[in-house]
Amino acid sequence: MNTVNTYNYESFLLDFAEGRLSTKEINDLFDFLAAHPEFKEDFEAVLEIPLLQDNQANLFSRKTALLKNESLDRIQDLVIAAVEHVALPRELNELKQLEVNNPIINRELEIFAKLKFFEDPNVYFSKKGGLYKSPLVTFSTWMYRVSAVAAAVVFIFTIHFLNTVENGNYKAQADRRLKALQNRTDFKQQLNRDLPLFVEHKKTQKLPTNAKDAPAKGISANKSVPIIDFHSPSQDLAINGDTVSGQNIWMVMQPVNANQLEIPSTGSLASFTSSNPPASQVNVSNNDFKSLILEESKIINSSYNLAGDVSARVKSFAGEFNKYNEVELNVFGVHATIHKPSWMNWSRHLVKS
Amino acid sequence: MTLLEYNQCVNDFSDKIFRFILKHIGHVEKAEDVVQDVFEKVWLKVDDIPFDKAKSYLFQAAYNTMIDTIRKDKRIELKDDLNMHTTVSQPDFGLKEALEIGLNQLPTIQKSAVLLRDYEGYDYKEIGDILNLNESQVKVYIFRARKNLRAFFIGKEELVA
Repeated sequence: MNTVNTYNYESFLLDFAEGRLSTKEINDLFDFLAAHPEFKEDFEAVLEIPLLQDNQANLFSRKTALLKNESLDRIQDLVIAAVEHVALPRELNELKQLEVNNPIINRELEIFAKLKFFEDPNVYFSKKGGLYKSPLVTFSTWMYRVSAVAAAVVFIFTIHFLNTVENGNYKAQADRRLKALQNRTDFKQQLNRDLPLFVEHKKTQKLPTNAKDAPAKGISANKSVPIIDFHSPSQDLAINGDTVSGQNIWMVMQPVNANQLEIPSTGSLASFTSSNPPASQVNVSNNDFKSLILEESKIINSSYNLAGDVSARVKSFAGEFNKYNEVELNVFGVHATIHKPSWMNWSRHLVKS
Repeated sequence: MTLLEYNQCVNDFSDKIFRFILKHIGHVEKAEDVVQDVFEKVWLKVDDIPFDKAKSYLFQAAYNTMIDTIRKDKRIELKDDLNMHTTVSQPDFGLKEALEIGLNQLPTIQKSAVLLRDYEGYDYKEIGDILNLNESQVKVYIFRARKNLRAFFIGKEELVA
C-alpha cells in the first residue's frame, strides 16, 4: 500500500476501522494524523461507525434437506441396476464391495425386487369379440343385405336341388367326374366319403350369359381383382385332431352357387400362411391355380400335416367369375390319409369389385 | 400381417393393452375406447405391419392414442383410480395396494416405462421405440420411477418385508 497522504487517508481510516492495517501502516496513519490535526475529526467519525454483525441465529432451516446423500443415491442406482439386470460388471463389483460395509444393501435389494408390477389376469378386455375381423367385416351394410338375400336364395335353391339330386344331367356328369378321378393313381386310396364337389353344386340351370343377370358387384372377368383373404373356418383347417396329410395339397377357386362344376379360370396366390407347419416350411411350389377340377395346379407340393391355422391371400384371378359375387377357395388333399372329407370348404366371401 | 395374424393379435394383446391403458387412466370405458381405437388403426394398416412387429406397434399406437385421449378429454382424472382414495390404514391394505398408490403418483412417462418393463419385459430400446425416447432417457425414467416408488415406501417397510 502507498504511504498515507491527503488523497488517500480516508481509505486508510476505513481499513483501520475494519482492522485490516498492518502495524507499520497503523504507525504511518498515526504519524500522518499527528502531522495533520485537521483530519482528527474524520478519524473520530470513522471510529464511531458501527460494524454490522452477521446474525448467526438466522440459519436456513432446510439446509439438511438440500444435502444429497451421495452414497445412498449411488447405492440405490447400483441396486436398481442389479434388480433391473442392466448392471455392468464393474457396477456389480462396486455393489459387492459396498455390501461389506453397508448392511442396508441386502435389504434394499429385497425391497426393490418387490417393487415390481405384475399383470392382473382378472383384468381383461371384455369387448374383445368386437375386435376380431372377418373379410365380411369390411363390407358395407348394403352388402350385408345383399349377402343375406343371396344366402336366402342359395338356401331355397339348395333345398330344391337336394330334391332333384338324382335327376338330370348333373348326376351323370358328377359320376363321370368321380370315376375319372378315382381312376387316377392319386385317388386309389379309399376316401371315406364321396367327393363333395360332385354332390354339392347341383344346379341344372345354365350360367346367365347376359350381364344384366349378373350381380351388380361381381368380379370382372379377365381382370385383376382386389386382394382377397381366405382363411379356414374356425381358423383351423383340421379340427378335433383331424389331419390332412398328403403329398399334394391343391387349391381351387370355385364360385359359390355355381351353375357348372367347371368354371375355367386361373389365378395366383399372393401369400400362403400356415401355423402348423409354419408357412416357411411349406413348399408352395406354384402360386398359380386353376379351377378346372381335373387340371388343378399343385399349389403346395410335399407331404404335410396341415393341422393348424391356414390362410391364403389371393392376388388375382380371372375367368368366368363375373356372374357371381361369391367365390370360395378350397383345399384339395390327394393321395393322403384323410380322416376328414378331402374337400375342405373354406370361408365363403363376398368379393368387392 | 394377414387377417389371421391380426385376429391372433387381438387374442394375444388386447387384454395386455387394456391393462396397460387402464393403469394409466383408471377409467374402464375410456380404456376400452382406447383399445378399440388402437385396433381399428392397426386394421387400417394391417397390410403394412409385419406380424413380428405387431406387438410393439400396438403398444406404440396404444400409448399415443392414450396421450391424445388424455389431451382431448381433460375430464379424465389421471389419478382418479379406484385405489387412489385408499389409505394405508385399511385393514386389507397390502403391498399390491400400496404399489398401486405409488404407481399412480408417478408421472405418466415414468409409469409407462415401468409398466412396459415389468408387464411386458421390454428392454430399454424397445420401450424407447414405443414411448419415442432414446435408451438413456428410458433408463433415467425407470430409475427415477423405482426411486420414487422406494421413497413412497419409506416408513412402510413392513409392507415389503
